[in-house]
Amino acid sequence: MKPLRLEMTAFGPFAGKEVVDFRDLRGARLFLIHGDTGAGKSTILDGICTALYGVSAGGERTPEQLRSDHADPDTMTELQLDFAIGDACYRVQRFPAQERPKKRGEGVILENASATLWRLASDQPGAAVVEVLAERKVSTVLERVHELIGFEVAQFRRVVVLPQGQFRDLLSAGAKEREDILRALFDTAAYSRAEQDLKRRASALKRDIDDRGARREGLLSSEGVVTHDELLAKIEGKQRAQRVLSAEAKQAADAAAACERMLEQGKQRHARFQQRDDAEDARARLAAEAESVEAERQRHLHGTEALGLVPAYDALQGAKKKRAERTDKRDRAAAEAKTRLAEVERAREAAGAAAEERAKRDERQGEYERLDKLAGFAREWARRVTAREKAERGLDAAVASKASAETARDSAQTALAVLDAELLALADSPAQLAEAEAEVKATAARLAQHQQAAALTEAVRKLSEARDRAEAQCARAQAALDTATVTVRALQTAMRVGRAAILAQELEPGQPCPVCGSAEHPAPAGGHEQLPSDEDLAAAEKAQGEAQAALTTAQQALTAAAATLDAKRELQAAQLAALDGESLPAAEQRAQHAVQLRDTALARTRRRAEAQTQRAGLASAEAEARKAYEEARDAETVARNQQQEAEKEEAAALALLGGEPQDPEDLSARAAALQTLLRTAEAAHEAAQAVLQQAETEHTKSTSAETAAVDELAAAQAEVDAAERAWAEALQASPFTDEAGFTAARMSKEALAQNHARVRAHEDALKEVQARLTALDAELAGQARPQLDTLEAAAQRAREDSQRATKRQGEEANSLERARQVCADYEAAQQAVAALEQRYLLVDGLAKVANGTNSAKINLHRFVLASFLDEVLLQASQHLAKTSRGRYRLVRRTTQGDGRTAQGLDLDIDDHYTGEQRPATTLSGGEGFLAALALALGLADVVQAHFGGIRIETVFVDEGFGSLDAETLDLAVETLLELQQTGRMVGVISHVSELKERIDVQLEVTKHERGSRTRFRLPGYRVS
Amino acid sequence: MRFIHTSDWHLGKVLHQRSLLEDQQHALAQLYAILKDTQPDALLIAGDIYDRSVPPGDAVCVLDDFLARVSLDLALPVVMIAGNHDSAERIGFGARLMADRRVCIAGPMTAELPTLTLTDAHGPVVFHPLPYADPATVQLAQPYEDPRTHQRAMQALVAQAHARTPAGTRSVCVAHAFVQGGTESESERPLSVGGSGQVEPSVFDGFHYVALGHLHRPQDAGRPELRYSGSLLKYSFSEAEHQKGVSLVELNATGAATVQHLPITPKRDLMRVEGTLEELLSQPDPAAKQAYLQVLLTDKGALLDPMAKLRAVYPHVLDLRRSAFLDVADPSLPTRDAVRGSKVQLFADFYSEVGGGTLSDEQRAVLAEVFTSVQAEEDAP
Repeated sequence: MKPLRLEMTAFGPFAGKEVVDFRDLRGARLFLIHGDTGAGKSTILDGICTALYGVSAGGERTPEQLRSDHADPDTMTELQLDFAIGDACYRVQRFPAQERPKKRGEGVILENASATLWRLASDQPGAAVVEVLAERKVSTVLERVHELIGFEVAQFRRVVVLPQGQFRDLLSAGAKEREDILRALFDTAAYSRAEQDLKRRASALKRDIDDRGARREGLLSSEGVVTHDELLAKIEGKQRAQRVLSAEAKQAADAAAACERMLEQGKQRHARFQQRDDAEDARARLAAEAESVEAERQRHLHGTEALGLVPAYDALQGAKKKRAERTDKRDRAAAEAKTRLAEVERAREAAGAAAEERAKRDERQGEYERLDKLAGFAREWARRVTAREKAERGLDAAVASKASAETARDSAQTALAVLDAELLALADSPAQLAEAEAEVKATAARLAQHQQAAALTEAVRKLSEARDRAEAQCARAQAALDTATVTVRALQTAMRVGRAAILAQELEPGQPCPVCGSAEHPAPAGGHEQLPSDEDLAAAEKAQGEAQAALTTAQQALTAAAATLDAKRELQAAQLAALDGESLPAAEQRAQHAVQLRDTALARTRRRAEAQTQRAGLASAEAEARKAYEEARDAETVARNQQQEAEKEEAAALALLGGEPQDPEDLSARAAALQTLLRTAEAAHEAAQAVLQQAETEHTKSTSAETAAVDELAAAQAEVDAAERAWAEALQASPFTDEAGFTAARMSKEALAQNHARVRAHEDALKEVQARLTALDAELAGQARPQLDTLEAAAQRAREDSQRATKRQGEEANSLERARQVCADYEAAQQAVAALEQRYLLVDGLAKVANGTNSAKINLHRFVLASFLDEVLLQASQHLAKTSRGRYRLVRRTTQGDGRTAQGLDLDIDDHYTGEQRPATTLSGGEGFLAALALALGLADVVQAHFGGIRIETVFVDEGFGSLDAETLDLAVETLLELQQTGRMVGVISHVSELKERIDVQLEVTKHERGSRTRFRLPGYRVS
Repeated sequence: MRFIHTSDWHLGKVLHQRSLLEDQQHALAQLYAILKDTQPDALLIAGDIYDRSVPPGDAVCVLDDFLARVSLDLALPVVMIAGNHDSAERIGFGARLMADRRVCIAGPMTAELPTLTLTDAHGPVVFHPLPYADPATVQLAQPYEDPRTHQRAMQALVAQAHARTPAGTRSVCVAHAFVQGGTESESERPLSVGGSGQVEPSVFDGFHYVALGHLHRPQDAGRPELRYSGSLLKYSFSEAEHQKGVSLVELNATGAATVQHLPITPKRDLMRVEGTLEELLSQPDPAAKQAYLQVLLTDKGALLDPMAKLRAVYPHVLDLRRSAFLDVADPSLPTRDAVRGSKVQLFADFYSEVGGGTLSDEQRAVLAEVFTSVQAEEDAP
């Protein structure tokens, strides 16, 4: 994993957005991150770690705590890292859980952590996003990051980022902790799981074996025995018993069989006897029947004879029948004819009636027309009545509207008059208003004057005060001048005196005096001590001058003030005169009064204007009302005319009706009825005619039918006669005396045949029975009838005995079978258990060894870890040998412990100088750092070798160099330089200045007021 | 014109936690004696004056003392440049002040480097000190074309030097570089990662003598006029066989140079000895007893407290090595990929390690099952 670009916003000491673009290194691989304490060097590592895993590098600060204090509350803490793994480039963006101010309303809301992972197109700046690999959910992103990088954060912190103060963890950790670290790094969980799996299998096998053992016991106890041998003995016993029982059963079965046979025989004989009895009965029966059979035979004879007569008889019967039929037919035809005749009569009558009816036609038609016309008149009259009524209504309406129009006109006129009167009254209001206004102005002006006067008075007062002050000032100035003058004179005097005194001092007796030239000096001037200087005098004179000036000024001021005052006083006097004695309150009152008057006038003027407007309106309204009235009157006249017209017409129509109002509906109805009647009569007549026609036809037909039927009857009669003659002949020829005899003897052919058969059958049966009887007699001669009951009973008993014996035998056999089965199961189980036990021994053996029960007292998992650790130490020792100048090697303690839990992962240092091993924790600070660094590098080598997909392309080392002396520092730096040559990027955080000299590619982190900044410095380049 | 050429003093160096300052003072005293005796016209010090960019205070005192005595007592002109171990700015402190006394110090890389011109019977000789700087720094001061290599940088500097030398004048260059063909020792700090720090000998063509510093073995770099004087003392055990000293150079009228190596004996020599502990303890070499020693013990087995025992006999043992451990040649990582694939095999190793013997086939079968089911558990989410 190689970082390309880290962007941190509001993170740690970086208040805003800070970008560290590792591409600015331009291919340099070893670089130093330096800066003041707290500037944010370790934060860069935290940034990388947090962006990838959501956890800081050192693990002491949670991502939430890493939010920058300087940041705006609106700026979200955000981390974004572009990184490359081999040729593929990715970007991860993470927002740790943080509070942000609500967008609406007061307060903060806790925003949950979220993260997103993308794949980028290339490792160049500004590369495009190719696809989204995981979105929003922190856990999914973490998973993908694990997959891509191959490390979890714990491993990352040991191998890629060596956090401040923590790289010693692996070195100085207790063996248990080291185990955890290594286990996480090398993912050896499979081995500890294998240990447990073996244990589980062993115990499962054990349980299985025990179960089976229990079951075997169960099997035995189900047979009521305790050991296998007992079972076998039991089986033996059962077998013997079995044999005895089967013999018994066999015996009983034989006995039963014999009885059965006897019974059988008895039954047979019994049956035979039975048969004979039956035969005897049969013969008796047959004998009884002999008589009837004879009768049958006689009948048969007769029947044969009768058969010959049958045709003639039948013929006769047939002819009779025909005749009867024909008679019927003739009767019917006659009846028919009669009916038809009656119908004809009826039809004739009906037709006559209809014709009569029809004759009334013309009369009716005339009536109809008259009614029709009348109806028309009536309708007209009704219409006119309606029209007249309407006209009347119109007239009423017109009258009414005229009346209202009149009222309206009148009221309009009244209103107008009123308004006019008012206007007249208000005519003078404009003039009044003007007057009032003028008055108001005047009084206002007056008022102003009063105010002015007051102001002037005030001014006068002030000015007089001023003048008084000026006077006083003058006086003071004068006094000052006097004082100054006095001073000056005094000084002058003093000087004079003093000068003289000075001169006097220098007088020497005999020397001429500079003043007067005298050589004698009887009374020299004294008092030379206090000689005022020229300067003093000058000053005093100056003061005097100043005082004079001051006085002059004051006097001038006074004059001015007095003049001003006088002027003002004049003005005031003039003002007062103008007011001629009127007081202010009076003026005010007058002003108020004037205003009131003016307001009234104003109101009146307004009212006038309003009234004028109103009048205009009213005038037009009145004119309209008048017009309306005119129109209404005209309308009334028109309506009246209409009404009279309508009356006339109505009268005319009534005359047509003959003076009698009649209902037109009634008339039309009657006319219609007549019409219908006419039509009906016509139709009836025609129908009656048709019916008559029909009836006559029918009648003719029926008469002819009747005639035919009579003829047929005659024919039939002739036939009957002939047949009778034939029958009489035949009867005579026969043995029968009369017809009755014949009828009695007559039988159908089938009956004859049956009769014959019956007779024959009887004869045969009799013969057969006879024969049987003879035979049976012969057979059963000399034999006794058997006693079936006794035989039955005996046989039954024998059967029962046999059954019991068999059952006993069967039971015993079952029991034996069960016992055998149990024995077999037991033995099978025995074998299975043996196999299982073998397997158990195998698995248990492995499990025990794997779990630490072995001569080295180390379990599999830790052994694997130990072997990994050996590899790591081998690599680490190479690095350490270099930096310790061949003195130290890292080894794993292999001496036996005292059997406590954590074994085999302790680290020792092999010191060549002493030839001894001692614990790694005994190294000094600097040595420890070198050892830890070597260990981390060794770890990285081994991890990379084993987890081939993981490429450790970057290593960050956070501090630790401060504990090294100069020489060791050199060696450490050389180690780091060598690391570069393996292609890795190495970032070192240190404040050691020596490193600043040695490593010229630097990332500088500086503190500013509002957070920190980073900047790459390359020799010869300036990169911000 | 005669001058002494020396370099790579590394004042203040600490070797295996032993400060060599006393020894360095001793050597400098010898150098002073040589200067006094030979009375050259100048002293050239070609860089790596100190061992570190911020040297210890007493080292600074030593240099101060020496330079003061050389310039004030002997009135000898000195040309000194900063090397890659030095901090150029610190070396260059006071250079302009000292220039009046003909102590020409070139520390930081500037657009125009100082020069020193001395005159002898045959005319002037111009000395061009070219301090060490990495190519990027040279580029800032005296721009040249890319690529930024030591070779190109040196070309630029040399070109400028030649430009400022009047035609026909003898010129001497004092430079600190790694010239191709030279032999390194352990104690030189590499000039660059990845080997772009070397320059070709031809880059110095045009100078009559080039006084080089950086490599600690006294040697020529292609021709006798292109010379490393070597370091003042042995600074690593790889230099145990070197003859340390300074070079006395004479330039004749035409500028042909003759070189003579003047040895300097150290206060305490640096030696390497080898043998079993037994041998070394029983038959000590008297010379070794006094020297700074690196001991290589050839014993195969474990030894109890060898360092203490050796120090009892050889009080100045600095470094102890064991040949047995050195034989462990670079162990390539045993590819446990085979193991990764066969956890069963690893178990077998474990089993035999803890005294269980070898695994039978049934046992292997059981283990294979176990590992498969464990793997299945892992894979099933």
